[in-house]
Amino acid sequence: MELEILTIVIVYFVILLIIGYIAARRIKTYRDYIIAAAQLNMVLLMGTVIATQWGGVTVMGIPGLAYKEAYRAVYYALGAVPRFLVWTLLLAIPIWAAKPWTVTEWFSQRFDKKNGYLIAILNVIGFLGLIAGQLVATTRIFTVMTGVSFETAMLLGVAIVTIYTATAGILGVVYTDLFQFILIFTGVITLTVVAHTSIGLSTLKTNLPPDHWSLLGLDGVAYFITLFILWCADLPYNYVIQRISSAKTKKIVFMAPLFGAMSYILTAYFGAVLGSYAAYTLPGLKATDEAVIRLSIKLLPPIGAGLLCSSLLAVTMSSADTYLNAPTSVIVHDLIRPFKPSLSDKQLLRIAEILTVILAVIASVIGLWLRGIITVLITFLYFTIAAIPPFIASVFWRKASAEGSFWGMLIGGIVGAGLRFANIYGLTPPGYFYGMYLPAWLGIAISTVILVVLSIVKPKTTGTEIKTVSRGNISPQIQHIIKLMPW
Amino acid sequence: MSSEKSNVGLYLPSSIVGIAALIMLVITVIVLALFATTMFINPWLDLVVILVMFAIIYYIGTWYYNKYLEHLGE
Repeated sequence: MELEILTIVIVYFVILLIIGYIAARRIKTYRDYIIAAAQLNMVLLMGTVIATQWGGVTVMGIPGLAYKEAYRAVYYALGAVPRFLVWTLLLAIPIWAAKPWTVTEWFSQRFDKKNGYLIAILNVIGFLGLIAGQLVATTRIFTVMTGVSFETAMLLGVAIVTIYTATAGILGVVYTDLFQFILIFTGVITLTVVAHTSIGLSTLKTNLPPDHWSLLGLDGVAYFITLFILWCADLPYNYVIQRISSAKTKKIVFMAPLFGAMSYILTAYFGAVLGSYAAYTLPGLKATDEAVIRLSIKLLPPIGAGLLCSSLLAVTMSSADTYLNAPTSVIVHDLIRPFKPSLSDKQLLRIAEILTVILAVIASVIGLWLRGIITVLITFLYFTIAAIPPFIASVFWRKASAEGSFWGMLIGGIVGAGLRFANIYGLTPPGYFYGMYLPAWLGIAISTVILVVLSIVKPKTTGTEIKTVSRGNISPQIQHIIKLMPW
Repeated sequence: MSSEKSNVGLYLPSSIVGIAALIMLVITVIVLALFATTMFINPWLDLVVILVMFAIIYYIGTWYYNKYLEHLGE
């Protein structure tokens, strides 16, 4: 990589760390941040909803798919459109009315505590994939920038994420996330315009093999449906609940994910176009996740490529930072604290610190094992696929029972994830059908059938009443635990 | 749940869920069809088609909100 680009990246990060440090100093307590987050207006909520999804994984992983087949990338991204519509049309208003602060709280409220614990465990497992996906994205950027091996770059990435977290922290990230998203968005548009003018779509159509533009037939339909399910598996997570609860008004909580749906039309377009331009200009690329970075270095002036790489790196690392803290909070808040109420503040904080390191190590091992951004990400979403039916049922089906929800999530999750891992270990035939489609379809089908049958056979019992932050009547102990949370 | 305030126990009526499912299906089919037939031919045409898709999602979404959700739970 050119020295100029590396210099821009270093300067950008020094400025970012200074901004983060100053921002973090302006907020005196975590409580300040929680209250601010509970009053998000349209622009902020829309920004955070879109920025959360538009990390390095989306901007790098989707063009990586398009490098080989344009429409696979299109279907991958467009699967998020109906997913955002599920969020906005079905989930947003009923959840916003209750304002839970964690997904555990929501499942405990609508079903029972057992369901709350299970969704907390599934969240922690799923977050490992999200963290690993961000770490792989970070590693790919470092690999291109420094030329070191994947393993060395992974170690470098984990170390820098830790330093970034320690210096800027979550509070600093709040101030820089939107700015970085705007930078990435501008960078991607600029890169697309430059590629259109310097190469052109007609050149791509002429020179790339016809298979590259194939609509994929029935396989395309199966792929799109599976991706829609996988995108929905990303819904029963804490950060979705938190974003819904932090909206100022009903209209805002509805409109923000609607704009999220629109943003993924852009993602589909940019992903397919940039991946295809990379396939034409950089043939033979083995690590296709690097396509966008390498294309930016090839087509943009050093300052443009440097800014795009920097913002990608920063957003990816800030996501990794948030994802690292989120499961830690779930474990401490929802799993350890209820069983060990005698633990002191200091002990809980120490446990949280140790857990963060353990999770980072586990996620690094997963990243080194699976290596592909998309592969890592979707593999762990198979654990939460079975949580989709109870989550959606929780907003409209009063008869959905705790037993049905629990056993549906457990058995559907085991079948879905089990089949996915069986394919990774070569126990089932290779290919999309046994590797992606069947595990997803069976996972969600089994969960739905169990939920419906048990809810009818064994009717609902009263859910546990959970007091929420918004109602203002939570105990001091719970208030303290909330302060440990990254949001 | 009955002891809590009414909007805490808010559930969407099943008729609204049906409309929502139909909207999701219609929007998804329109978006996929437009991508399959009109995209990646000319950058300006791509831009127009993207804006059309934005308009469809925005107007159907706001119609659904105004008609079914605005006064829900009040």
